[in-house]
Amino acid sequence: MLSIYLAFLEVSFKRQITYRIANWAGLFTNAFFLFFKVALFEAIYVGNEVVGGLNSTSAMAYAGLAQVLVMVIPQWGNIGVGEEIRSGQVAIDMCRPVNYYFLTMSKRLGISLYYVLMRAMPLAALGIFVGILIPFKNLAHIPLFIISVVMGSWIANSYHFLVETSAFWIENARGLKTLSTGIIYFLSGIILPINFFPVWAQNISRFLPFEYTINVPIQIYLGTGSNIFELMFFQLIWCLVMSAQCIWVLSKGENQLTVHGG
Amino acid sequence: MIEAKIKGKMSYQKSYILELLGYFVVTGIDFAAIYFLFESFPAVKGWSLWEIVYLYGLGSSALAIAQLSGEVLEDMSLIIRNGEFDQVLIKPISPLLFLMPQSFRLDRFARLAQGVLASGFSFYYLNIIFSWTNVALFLCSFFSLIIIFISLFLANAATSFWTIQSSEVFNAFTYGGVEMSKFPLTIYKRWMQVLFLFFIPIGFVIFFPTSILFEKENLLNFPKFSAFLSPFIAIAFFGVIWVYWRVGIRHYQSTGS
Repeated sequence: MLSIYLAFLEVSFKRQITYRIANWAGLFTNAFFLFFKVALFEAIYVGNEVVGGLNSTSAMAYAGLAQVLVMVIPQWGNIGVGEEIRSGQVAIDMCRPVNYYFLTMSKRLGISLYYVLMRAMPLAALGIFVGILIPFKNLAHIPLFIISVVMGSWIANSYHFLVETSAFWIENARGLKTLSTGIIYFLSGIILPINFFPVWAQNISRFLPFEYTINVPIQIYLGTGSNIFELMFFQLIWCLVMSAQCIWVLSKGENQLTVHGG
Repeated sequence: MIEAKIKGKMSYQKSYILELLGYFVVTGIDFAAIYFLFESFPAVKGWSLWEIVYLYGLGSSALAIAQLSGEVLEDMSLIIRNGEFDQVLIKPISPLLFLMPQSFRLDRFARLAQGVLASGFSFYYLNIIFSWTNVALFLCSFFSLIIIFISLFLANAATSFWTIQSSEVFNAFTYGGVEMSKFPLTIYKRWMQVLFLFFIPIGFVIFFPTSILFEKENLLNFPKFSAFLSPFIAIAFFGVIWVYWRVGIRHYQSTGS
């Protein structure tokens, strides 16, 4: 059974590789944003020692890492579920002897794997080269970091999946997409590290899934997280909760689905 | 039948309300990010909260107008691949004049509104007086910025004549430029300053007029009248991209059947 999902993962990985020019342009844009974010944090830290538990080196590394991970742990864009529901393609996929949710997730993980190799790695190399990314303090944290990135990617993709299944009920999901993207983009820590949020906002954010997508892997990398295993435990919980929600919504949507033959 | 019709209408209305709500929340989020930043840090290189809000408002309203007038150019590769560009070329008017009005999208007004609101509030809190000079400084930035954004869309479109595939090379400059324009040019590294002063002059047309407006000392050793050069710089930039576009059209070979 697993081999079927792995095959889908591989296919979507290979398909992604073929968009060569778009990939180079994307890498270019990503690198650009990396330099901008880092320059911003460098500038605001002048005259400040430690803010929100981050010193200037960690804050710059935070900003850099967010750009390294942003495509691997997707924060915006369509994952294609909405279009498949609207076009009716979803009916064919649902007839397959595999679960549509896991099918989509394996495709998405294939794309994330692609971004690890073609986006995250070159950007990380660039970041280390220009001295933005500080190396791991504790080498034993590397495997934990990798697991955390996988879980973060799972949560983020499930979130997009959940939003896009709204296409079962509403025709035009552009508004919902704008809304949902805005929320995850802000609360995941990409725009501003969660450390800089006021305490009340941090307390709210802790009970929402968003900071478990990108903020937690970054905290593990930087070694600034309160308790790594606690953070990862919550990540795991969110993986399970999001998956359960997606599967539940999918079963509701199935009843809603009408396909016009032709 | 009637019931189905009403239901259909309602579902559109629902998504329309969601869309407005979406933009409303996104604006709030953008604003919250700036506000949170200033909770932790008193100032960004001597620029205060409302001065940064002004930059944000200026950037988003100019981008909104540019999108309203030229966003269709972003779909150029698709237009070429579908062979639709042949139909555009045989029209008796300039291809740009034919294409650009198709960019009009009602929802872009939301971005425009958020930009105008942000600028309005910052004017109020900063006690900016409505003198001729100040209005001129604002308009200098605003219109120059619109011209540059449209030029960048055009540059992307022109590149598609060669690549056929969608090419987003200039997106780094468009959206990177929007991101950059939220903060004063003085915070960036020298090479970024040079890039956004002379090559993609977004920084030029925002930084100088705004610095004069807010009476900032650090003008990166430029004379004060640079602020009023902005429109000329923007038009010169458009001119260069225009030539690139013309060369692209001449190079264009149809893909359709």
